[in-house]
Order: sequence, then structure tokens, then C-alpha cells
Amino acid sequence: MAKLLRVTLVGRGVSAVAAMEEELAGEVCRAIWRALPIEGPAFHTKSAMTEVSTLVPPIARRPLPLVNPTIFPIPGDLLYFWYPSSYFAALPESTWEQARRTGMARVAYYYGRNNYLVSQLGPSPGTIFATIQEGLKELARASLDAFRSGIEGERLRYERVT
Amino acid sequence: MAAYVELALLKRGVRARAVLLEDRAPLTCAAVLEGLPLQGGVYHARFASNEIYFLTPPWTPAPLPVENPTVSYDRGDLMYKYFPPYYWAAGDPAVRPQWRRTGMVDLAYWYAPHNMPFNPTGMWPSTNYGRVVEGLDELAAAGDDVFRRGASGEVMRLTRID
Repeated sequence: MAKLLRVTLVGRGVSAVAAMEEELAGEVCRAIWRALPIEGPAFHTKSAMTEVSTLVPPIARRPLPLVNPTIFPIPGDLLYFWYPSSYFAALPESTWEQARRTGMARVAYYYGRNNYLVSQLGPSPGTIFATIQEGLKELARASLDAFRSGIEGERLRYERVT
Repeated sequence: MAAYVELALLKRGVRARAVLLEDRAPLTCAAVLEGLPLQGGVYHARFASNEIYFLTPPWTPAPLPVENPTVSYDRGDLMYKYFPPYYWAAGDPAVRPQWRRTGMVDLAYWYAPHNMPFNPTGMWPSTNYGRVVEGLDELAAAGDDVFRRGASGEVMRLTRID
């Protein structure tokens, strides 16, 4: 049976449950599972459409391979990204030093359709490592609310379901 | 003599002054001047990056051609973009009937550089018809604040300055 993890917008107290895609993204799934819980400030995309994510220090000692990649995530997909230290142009003060030192991982979920991961650098694929099984509708509503009424102060948490 | 408009975010109490680029976008500038005052509920982009906009039903007898077209908007640029009926009826349910009947005009300003008006249908060039000349720092800060604290309840208004 697939391992389950919980995705929570902490401030809004809304969760969904996702199943790890170990058969498709084994190495990334194992690294993420070991690193859980992962929590950080929630950030809404300005370019990928319906994405909420958090930027955290690297979860593995070296960059993980890009497996099970997509630039077209669908509702309920959970994606893992990694950026080298040279990637960042601007970040909040609190994150900047860490990012310049180690690079950063980013863990995102997609709450609606028409997502499209293309940046000024071209296609920017991430690894689909899990898919939401339960609670997507509620999480989608809370995510849109976060976008419309302000995501500042909101936190995003990923944790094991035991 | 150049024509100017006031761009205001009513809830945040921010006002800026913009010059219309009548030599580069004559039809659009004439139409905007004729249509003023214009206002509507504010949205933050989810594809195009640092764009703050409102939607209003088209007020000209026929869609305007794209003038002074660009896809590389800079901080302080004003944008006019016509979308045909049904184009984004999947967006805010509050304006869906209007989308279906008439399409919408998207009137925007850009509060930071490095934008990418690019969605799954490709690049969408639009008309750059004005440029903020006074109050840009406050307007840009307000744009970032809309992103962080939410667009909900904010109203953007364009009025003529004689």
C-alpha cells in the first residue's frame, strides 16, 4: 500500500491526504519521506496558475534526479523542485542567506487546472512525487481564499500519516 | 498637450498619475479617455507575474487592434487587453455572465519587472498605452501588498485628469 502524507494550510486548518508515487519517483519519494515533516511559509505562484508551495533548505545531501517530470501538473499533484544557490535573484531576508549557501528545495501542490511551468529560463519541470487522494476540494477552496484574501503569515506543512 | 490619468487603489488609498502614450497607441488612448472613469474589483495575475488588473465590459463598438504591442512589461506600464466572449469564463464566477455576453477588457498596471504574459495559449501581446509618472513607488508597493495580503475588497479606478 502506498505511503500517505498530509498536506495542510496550517493557518486555515485545512488538510488533504496524498499518496506517495513510489513506483514512479522512488528515490525522490524516499528522500521526501525521510525529510518529513516539511514546513515553511506558504507562497502562491504568480506564473504557474494554481500552485501553492514552500521553499525549504535541501532535503538531501546532493541534488535528487529529475524523475517523473512534468511542466503540466494537474489538480492534486505534489511536485518537488530543487534550485541551486545561483538561481535566486530576490528572496526575503530570512531565506536569502540559506538560499545563497545551499540552494533550496521547493515542495508544491496544485489545486486547480491549467497549470503551466514555464519561466524566463524555459520549461521548468518538477518531480511528481505524490497525488492527493482526499480533501482536494476543501484544500482548493482554502488555497483560492489564501490567494484572494492574503497568504502572508500562512504556513504550508507536509507530514506523514501514521 | 499630453493627456494624463489618475490610477487609484481605493481601499489602500494609493493614487498615481500616468501619461497616455497617444503617439504610440492613439486608438487605445482615445478610447480610454472616452471610457473614463473606469473601475472594478482588483485581481492579481496567476500567469503573468507582477500584474494588478480589473476587468470591465468592452465599451467601444468594436474590439480595438493591439497597438504599441509588448510582452515584456516593465514596472509602471499600463496595459489594455481585450478578451473575447467566454475566453476566461472559468475565472471569477461573479463576472461569468458578463464574460459570456461581451468578453472583457483587462486594464492593468505592472508593479515589478521580469513579467511574462504567457499562458497555455502562448504569448499574449497587448497594448501598452500609458506609463506611471508620479507616485510609482507607492503604487508598486501597493501591488506587492495586494499579492501578500490579498486583492479581496480592493478596487482599481482610472479617472481623467484635466
